Amino acid sequence: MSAAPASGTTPPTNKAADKTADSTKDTKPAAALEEDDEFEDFPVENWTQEETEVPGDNTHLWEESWDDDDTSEDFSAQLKEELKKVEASKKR
Amino acid sequence: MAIVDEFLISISGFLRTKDALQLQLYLRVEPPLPDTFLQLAQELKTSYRDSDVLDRHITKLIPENDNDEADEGNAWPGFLAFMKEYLEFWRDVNFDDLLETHSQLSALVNACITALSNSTYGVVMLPTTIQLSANLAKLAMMLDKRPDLMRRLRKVADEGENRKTLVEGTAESIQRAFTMCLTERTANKNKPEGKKAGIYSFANMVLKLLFQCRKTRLANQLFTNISQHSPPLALYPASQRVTYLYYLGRFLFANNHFYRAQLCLQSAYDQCHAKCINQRRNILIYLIAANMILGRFPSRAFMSRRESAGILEKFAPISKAIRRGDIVAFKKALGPESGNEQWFFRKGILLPLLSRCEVLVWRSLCRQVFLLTYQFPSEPSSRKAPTLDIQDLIAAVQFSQKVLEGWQKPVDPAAGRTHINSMFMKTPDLLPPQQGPKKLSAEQGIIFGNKMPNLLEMEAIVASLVQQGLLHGFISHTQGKFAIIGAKQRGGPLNAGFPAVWEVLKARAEKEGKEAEVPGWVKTERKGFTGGVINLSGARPVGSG
Repeated sequence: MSAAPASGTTPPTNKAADKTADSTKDTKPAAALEEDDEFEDFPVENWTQEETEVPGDNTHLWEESWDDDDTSEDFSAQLKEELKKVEASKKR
Repeated sequence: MAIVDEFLISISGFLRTKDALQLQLYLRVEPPLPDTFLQLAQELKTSYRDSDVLDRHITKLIPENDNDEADEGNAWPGFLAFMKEYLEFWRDVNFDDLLETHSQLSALVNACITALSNSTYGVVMLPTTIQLSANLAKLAMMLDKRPDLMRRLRKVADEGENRKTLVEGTAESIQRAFTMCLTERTANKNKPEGKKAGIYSFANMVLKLLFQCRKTRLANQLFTNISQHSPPLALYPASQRVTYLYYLGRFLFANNHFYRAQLCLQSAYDQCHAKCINQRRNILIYLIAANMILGRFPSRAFMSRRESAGILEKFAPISKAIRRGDIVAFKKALGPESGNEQWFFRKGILLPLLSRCEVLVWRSLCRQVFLLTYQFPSEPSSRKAPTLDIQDLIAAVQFSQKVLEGWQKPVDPAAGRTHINSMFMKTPDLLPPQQGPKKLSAEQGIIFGNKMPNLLEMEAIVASLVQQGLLHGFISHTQGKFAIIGAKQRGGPLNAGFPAVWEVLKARAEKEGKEAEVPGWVKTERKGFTGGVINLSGARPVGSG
């Protein structure tokens, strides 16, 4: 069994998954539907804070004030027309 | 020397030296493996058909050490039972029959967990147990995606009552190892020492399986136990932290705890390796969904990130509709027309987005109508409260309902030319389709199917928004108006009447103490009973349930 430790450094791959590789040919549409659905196992166990950093803006990820005051776009314009009619009927 | 003998002697040696990593390396089952494993299997098939013979051989080559020295490891009955199971696995396994392999591997993992349970020597089995459990979990996940194979199993299982799915049963097996690690008594409760080092490895496997078989409610107990017994999560490796926070975030999301879900998912996202796109992407989907429900939209910062490719486009029409208060566009953004409905559904975020974000659309619609109808007073010192006429809101909503029912503008004979006096002309009313209004199912309509929204319903919706803190003011039922409070102090009626959603929901979460503590996420060291301060603010009297 001396061979076991020597080759132990190669990353284990799933024999079972290898087996399905052949049979996925005929079930391809279903597989495509589930594209990367699953949260995969991480290839490494641990990493540093530096390795999590992505380039670009990291401080402003979320827009908290997003109200739209533009009343010229389509929906707003249509709404305006409808409301005008209500105003007119109120005055009558 | 025969391979079986050589193998057992090596194992015996690793037990003596407590070499957990060598044990893990030798006690493997997942191909591809060195040829020696095949030779081992072959030898077992030829010479050890009889399990009793095998049993005696194991006991002979891995003897228990009578001269119990403090520093030396030793064999124990649970380990010998596991070794027998392990060699039988290699003797009998047929990787072409995956269902049978799963049941053999299940038996092996159970024996392994029993070996791990030994309080003196068991810990040497921790890496092996993690490895074999991971193999079993992977096989179960793979089988679950093979309906052709599972059908066979179902036929067998149908005969028994209270049957569990293969995935659920696997989760249960691995949960035993999790509980064992979690409840181990160690000198220092706050260090991931001994078996406690394995807590999150097993927890993450169990969570993955429970999410796969859609039995997430079973995760409740796991999170409660972690809250009570686990050392701080921060002491575990990054991969375990991120995976765990991802599942905890999804669990909280599925249970409508969006604020806490967002805290977990944001932390998972921030701690995830920059190059692990699959994981970042999975986290991001739920992180965006939770934030949208809480009134925060993804900013442009995400546009350059690989993991958000293809995701932002799916969410953008929703946030656009929310911004404008456009209910029709909102329903479309999540409906079949968007082409994304199935995707949202499969991710388990369709219904939460529909029901939770609709509230935000209503808020924006009220704001839009106010913006379009309110006459700012000519006299700056006017003390009159700014108001929104509910009748105006009804007109806006009825208009949206008509659009949903397929009403259209009449065809203009002068189409294409703009009338010279167009700004003085009244736009024609929408007309119902000739074949009658489109039949809407309950959720397709604004209130309920083809029900035309009326005063009573609009008042109820405004009242509900006021109650949730998303509109700031009161309803005057007699005048049919919503009046804004504090416009002068808060910089105008828009700021005062329609506070930013995120600010409101964040303040509420903080008030309820959700910022400080997330059940299932151990952030700080727990204090012992001697000399430490115990926080009893959340404790209830005995017997109060």
